[in-house]
Amino acid sequence: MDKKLTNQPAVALKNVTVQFNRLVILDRINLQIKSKSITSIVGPNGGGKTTLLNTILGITKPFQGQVQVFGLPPSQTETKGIFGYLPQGNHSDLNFPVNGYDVVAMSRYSQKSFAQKLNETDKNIIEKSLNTIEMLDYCHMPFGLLSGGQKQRILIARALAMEPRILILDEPSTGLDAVAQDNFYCMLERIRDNQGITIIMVSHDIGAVSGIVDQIACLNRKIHFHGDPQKGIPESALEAVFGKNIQFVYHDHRCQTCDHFS
Amino acid sequence: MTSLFEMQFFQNAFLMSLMLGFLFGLLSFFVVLRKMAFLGAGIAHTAFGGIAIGIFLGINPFYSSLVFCTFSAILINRLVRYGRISYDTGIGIFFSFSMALGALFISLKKAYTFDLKGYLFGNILGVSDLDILLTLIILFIFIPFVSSMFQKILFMSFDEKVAEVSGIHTQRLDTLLSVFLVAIIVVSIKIVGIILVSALVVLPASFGLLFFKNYRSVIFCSILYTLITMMSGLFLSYFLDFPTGATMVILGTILYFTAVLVLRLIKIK
Repeated sequence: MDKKLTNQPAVALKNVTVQFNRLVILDRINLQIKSKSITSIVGPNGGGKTTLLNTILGITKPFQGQVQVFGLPPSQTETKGIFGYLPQGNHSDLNFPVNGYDVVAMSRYSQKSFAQKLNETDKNIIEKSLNTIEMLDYCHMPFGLLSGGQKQRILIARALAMEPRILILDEPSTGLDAVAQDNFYCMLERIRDNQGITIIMVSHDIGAVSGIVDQIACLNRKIHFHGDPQKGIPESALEAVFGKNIQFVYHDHRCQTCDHFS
Repeated sequence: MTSLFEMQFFQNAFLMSLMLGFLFGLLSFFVVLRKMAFLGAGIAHTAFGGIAIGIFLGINPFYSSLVFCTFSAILINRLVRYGRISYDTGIGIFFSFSMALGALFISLKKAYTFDLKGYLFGNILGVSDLDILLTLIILFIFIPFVSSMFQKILFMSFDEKVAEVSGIHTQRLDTLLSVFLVAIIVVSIKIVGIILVSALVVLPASFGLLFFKNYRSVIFCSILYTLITMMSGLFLSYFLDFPTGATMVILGTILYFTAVLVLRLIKIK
């Protein structure tokens, strides 16, 4: 039984089509995401990346096809704390009167029933999450005063504090400089290895993520490639997703300082 | 001063301002953070239609406007969620429609002497024992609701989509909050007035946010500000014979802009 559970894909999409106003956004998507892996979904603007995440999360209902999260439809999983979610976009409301700790604590409160307070376990989880993203020292600063990268890390800590089995990140590296991005990707690897969490993230930059992810899915309305990026992505797939005449710069995330650009 | 409190109408107005001070101070926090300020203004104006319907049908305008405004708030909410119109468009259309409806119903009831000015700008004489009782009931429901659901409303205001993914029933909570907004606005109309009540929805938390960056202090400051504004407005309007709502709103606005100015000056130095 146990073995069956671990072999089960974290997310499985079978022939999923999504359309808005008769416009097909996702076209017959078949995708299986392995448990305890990092998968990156790459593709151009308007290619349907965020819609795909919303479909997995159960926010968007498919027009046809089937979505399963650990073998169940998403409608049955949302309250069970399976997902930790980092949406796209930045928080522009600088005046929202909370500090970093409050933001992370929100995710613990969301699991509580009527009027329940946080207990010691909750507080430990909050601190552990803040520690993972190295923000424990800054968590008492007003959220609005943190830098873009620090805000992003706090929001990831909030997603982690839900103790999810799947972490869904929509363009998580937005607002991070090159060094911070490298650190961020190392952190994702640690989260996968130490906590056994499946990570699905959306990214524009195929070069930056291909060094660390286990699987890459190239999406432009359809899935044009799905597999291990280290084994090479066929040129035809890249062309179908990004168009012709495009160059890719592959990064090695282990290099901390770049001495030369080539 | 003692003779002032011997008068029944003043006792009522005093009690009412005290309770509304707490209610608006707390409500304002959520309205400002959830950016529902325009809904507040819209609901207050919609109440005019509800009041006119009550007068036309010969029932207590409180009940008719409560039902009418709750219905409107939920309808606006649904229209925005499932329709293709934006929040402010929905509210804009709805509240002018209800004002027009109100004007029509009042013109149909020609023989009725209607204290229009009182409803629009507030009247210190307007608060009845029943109004006190109704406000007390709202207070006893609203405060436990807020204290038990506080963190969930905070999460929803901060990030609605993530709150929903993490299992909070955002739509249900949003509807409940709108219903409280309606009830508190409707019950305060007699003393503050339809046109002016929206200021009490926006000003308190905005004032608190000028000074503090953590929610506990913001709420505390917001309640204190509302109590001070409403109490001093009440006394001033009695002694100077000004409309009560107008006095409160002018005082509150002056206080707000003075604070903005003072903070500016301190920062420049």
